[in-house]
Amino acid sequence: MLLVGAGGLVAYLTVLPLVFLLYGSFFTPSVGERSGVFTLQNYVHAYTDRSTIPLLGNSILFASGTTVVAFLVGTGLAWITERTNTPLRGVFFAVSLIPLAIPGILFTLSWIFLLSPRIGLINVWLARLLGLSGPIFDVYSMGGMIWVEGLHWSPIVYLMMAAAFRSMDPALEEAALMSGSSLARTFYRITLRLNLPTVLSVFLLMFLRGLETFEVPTIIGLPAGIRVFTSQIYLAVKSYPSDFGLAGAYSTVLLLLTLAGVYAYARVTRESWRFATVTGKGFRPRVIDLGPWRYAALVLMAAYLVVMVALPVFVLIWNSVLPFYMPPSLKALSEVTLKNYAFVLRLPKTARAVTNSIALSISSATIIVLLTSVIAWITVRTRLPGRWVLDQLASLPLIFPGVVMGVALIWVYLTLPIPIYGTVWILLVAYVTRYLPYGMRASSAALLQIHRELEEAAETSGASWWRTFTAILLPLLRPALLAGWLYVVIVSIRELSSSIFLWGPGSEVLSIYIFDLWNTGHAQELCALGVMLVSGLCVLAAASRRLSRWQGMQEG
Amino acid sequence: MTTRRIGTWTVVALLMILSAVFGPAGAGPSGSGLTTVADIANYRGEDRQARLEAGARTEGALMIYTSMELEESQPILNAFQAKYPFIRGEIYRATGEDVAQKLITEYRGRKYIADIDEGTGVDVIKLFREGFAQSFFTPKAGGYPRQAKDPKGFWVATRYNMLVTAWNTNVISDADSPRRYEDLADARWRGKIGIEANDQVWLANLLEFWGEAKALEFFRRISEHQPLIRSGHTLTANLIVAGEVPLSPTIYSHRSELLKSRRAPIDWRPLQPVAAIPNLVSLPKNAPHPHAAMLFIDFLLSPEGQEQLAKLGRIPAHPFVKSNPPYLNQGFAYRAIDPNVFLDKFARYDQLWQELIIRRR
Repeated sequence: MLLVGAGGLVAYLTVLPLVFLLYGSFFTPSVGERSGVFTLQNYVHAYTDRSTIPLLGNSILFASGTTVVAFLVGTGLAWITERTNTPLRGVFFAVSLIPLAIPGILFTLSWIFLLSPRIGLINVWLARLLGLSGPIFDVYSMGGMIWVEGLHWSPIVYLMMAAAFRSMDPALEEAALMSGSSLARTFYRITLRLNLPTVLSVFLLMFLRGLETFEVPTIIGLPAGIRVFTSQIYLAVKSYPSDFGLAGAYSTVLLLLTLAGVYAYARVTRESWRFATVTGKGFRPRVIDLGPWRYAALVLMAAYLVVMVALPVFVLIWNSVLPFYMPPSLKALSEVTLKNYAFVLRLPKTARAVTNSIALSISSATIIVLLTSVIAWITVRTRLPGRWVLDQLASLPLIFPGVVMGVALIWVYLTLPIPIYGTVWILLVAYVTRYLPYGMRASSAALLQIHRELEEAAETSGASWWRTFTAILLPLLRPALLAGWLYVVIVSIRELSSSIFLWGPGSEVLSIYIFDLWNTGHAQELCALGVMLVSGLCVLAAASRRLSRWQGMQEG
Repeated sequence: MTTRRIGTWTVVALLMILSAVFGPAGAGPSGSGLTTVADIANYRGEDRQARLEAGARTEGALMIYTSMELEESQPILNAFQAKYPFIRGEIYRATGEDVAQKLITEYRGRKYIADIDEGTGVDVIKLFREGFAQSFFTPKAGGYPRQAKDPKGFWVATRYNMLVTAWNTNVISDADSPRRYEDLADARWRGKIGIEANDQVWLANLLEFWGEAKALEFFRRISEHQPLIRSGHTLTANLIVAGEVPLSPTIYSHRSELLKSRRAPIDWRPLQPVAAIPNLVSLPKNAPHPHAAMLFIDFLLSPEGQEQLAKLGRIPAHPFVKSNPPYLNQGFAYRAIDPNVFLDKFARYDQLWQELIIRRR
């Protein structure tokens, strides 16, 4: 019953858009009365055209680069705050939530203002400091793209790795250290290996995000002349007549890449019981003494906060109070104004966009976490026939770049007699579908780490399935689920690439609003909105932290 | 589930599909005595105004799809609503391409939401090409010059964007600034010219005016200068102010004038011939509120609506309404782009554009 219900819902959400996508990819674009005709040309073009090779190269390089940057930065920080005795690490955990509150498009824009060759603050300052004539960094390059995207996702890696490190029994680490293994060796051989399911999901997640991300390739990549599949799909959809078929064919390249990733992941986690580190055995997470090195770790944390929070937020604030962009100077200070704030607050769409975004992100996150924890339980714990289908179905949206998902969903709901087109509901469907796989990975990775013996004990004591699920599993899963929930909230608030095709009058969301302000050249007003947005989200994050502490979740 | 229940559900589902397919297409009850969108749009009787108002009263709503920024479209709508307080207007604003894309997709799926399509000529004309536009009659278009309206009545120009050359005055002095397009071929502009990413229209204008040989030579020189590509005209103008882009030949005159009036370090000059890009208004074939739509088209093209546009700093299409300041579109030669011709040759323009400006850097 459970399987049929969950399976039906997931199939409806995920299979339908895929069917429409594949169907459309075999047709030429239709113009006027002349409708599209059947063709294989889209595939021929997508797979054999010479231009595909650099596309493929750029996409893979960009995705791997961002994965490595995000993983190194995020995991390093997670280890410092969760497994060592670095001072002020509790404070860091709180502050590390701030970058999550900066939407991708704002983060990207603020780094343009920092690293742009002519006006980038870092370039200007470094040139002044070192007496150089030319710029040192150019954000409009592959390196710049990787840096911005990787940095942008590092807080997510941090959250996921921190959750994994926290629920890990430190006994093995201690054993290794006591047997004379070095810190680095212990970290590599024990800490990372023990958390392999999480590490792999993080890698997979980041790689896929890198393949399908939209903001950096369009805002930085297109001016730099660096094209990846998503920007190519976006251009195909945007061209006239809109070449949805070619976009669909390009998407199948992403589909194959993704399938390879998912397959590799499944192979590695097959013998998942070996990773069960949360067992019935009692343990207290203890931390490693870094000695004097803990101050070096502190400096690293501080440097990260400067790069991640202080610089971008400074650029946002600075821009938000100027009538037009100027590098910081005394003259510029005399021009300071609050007009941009007044402009944003006066527009009637502002309040609507804020309300819509908050409502949408919270509801999609809640739906996803509830749905995926049940699905994950079915796929990980039960022996129900067909459970692997469920897992595959829930992972299916991974292959959809947001742009394609947006267009596919338009077709689904313009064709089906379900009247949600142009309303917030179609956005909710889009968000739930798009981020289902991420909720799924978070839930199943967490579930894999919890040994079956706890549930068996509950069962033996006569507890019902529902009671075992709610009284044993959910509380144990809570840190991971909360991380997953928070993740979905954040990515939904940032979501741009599907929303841009699905929004209508009355269902404006923040990311669209910001994108539109950028498109219409209201950079200053955009920064004012950004400052208000980031401060609002920080307050929310602080409140939720209070709440979770009150629930006794943040031990140790 | 029994067979009978499955049968019932199938019937219900079929009915829903049928109603979705045929439901919104028919015109609703109207207070004007006119039923179809075509009849309403082309009514020429003496009582036209009274009938439109009566119909619009029943409709009570208006959905405007436009690429005009909210900063400008909202005041226009407000002025319109002050005149017709019984109409509740809504604006969907996006880039010209996205508006066209959305409208066409909706019409393919038989969802009819938009009453007005206003925006860049090249994009509005797509609606007509797809067969989703309705020809209309408005007495307000009478005084407009011939090239500002479609002979078959599918569109009328509302405002123009003039592509001029603007530069940052801190980086480039007035003496150094270019006077003619040919000046831009000079090697000292290497790495200093910014170009808007989708201004094939700029290339088309010079190509048609100069002829293939001279134009291609010019664009090759520009290409060797390794231009800085940015999307969005307003954005590129702001980047000039910021100093990131020293100079750009693809800036709208009204935008640089607005920034200049705010004491930003920017100045501009019309390098001739200037490309004048028309913005058009057109009526979607199945507009759900056709009476209100016609009232809005009347208003937008009337001297009253055009004065509003001029007051907001845009260049009105009306021949007797002056832009503010007048030199935004006076004192220089410009060529109005014919959106139909441009779209016909777009594939060729775009190929050259990608080859010369975007890729070869």
